[in-house]
Amino acid sequence: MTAPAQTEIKTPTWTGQSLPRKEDERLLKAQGAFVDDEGIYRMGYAHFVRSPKSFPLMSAKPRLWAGSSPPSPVMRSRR
Amino acid sequence: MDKGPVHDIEFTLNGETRSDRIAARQLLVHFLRDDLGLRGPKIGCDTGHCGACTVRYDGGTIKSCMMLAVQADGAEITTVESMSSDGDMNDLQESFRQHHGLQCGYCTSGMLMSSQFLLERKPKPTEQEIRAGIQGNLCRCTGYVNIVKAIKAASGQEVSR
Repeated sequence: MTAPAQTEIKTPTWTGQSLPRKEDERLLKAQGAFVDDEGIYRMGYAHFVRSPKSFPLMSAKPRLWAGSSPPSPVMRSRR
Repeated sequence: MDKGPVHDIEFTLNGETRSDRIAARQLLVHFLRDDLGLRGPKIGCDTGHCGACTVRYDGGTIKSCMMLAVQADGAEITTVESMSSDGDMNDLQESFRQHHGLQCGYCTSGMLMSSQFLLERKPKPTEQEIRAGIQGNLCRCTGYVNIVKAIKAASGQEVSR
């Protein structure tokens, strides 16, 4: 039995190559536009309130507030 | 909205002297971003952990979300915008690009500020010194290896590709 003839493996042009990215220049110059950079008309901010209880009843529904921190609703167990 | 008490301050921003009226409670990062429209300092955590808002302050570095804007009175503040003021990227930025020292680009401004400061103090830092120099900056893409490489290469030292 003879071993199959070795075929030469050609390296594809792109694989393993270090390619410069198109977006890098603007990101490095702080010209990228992330959501907070742009701002959208009537853009809101979300606050996540963590609950110490699982599936609790909430005493106050979160709503719009004027102060610097949101009112924290009281969480209590259902039983 | 009522700004509350205000203060008049004078400071240097990216080499330009300017005077502004600032709300006493306003943070420096909000002033730079919202009032002056700079996109360099980013807000990543607002609690001083992530370093995305790092700017140069009187030659050192500070996290601008940890400072009130009024504290900038009389100070010299430099942001990442100053690095490419003539339109071209500087050597450090070019090195970040060549060594893929950024992915999403959100931590990049802060990383550039901290590494610029590091290279001023230590022109030929070791890998350990580089890691210590950027320990206040978090990269959520976890691209630290390439960031360290980029800084090392920018200092003129040999790095593996």
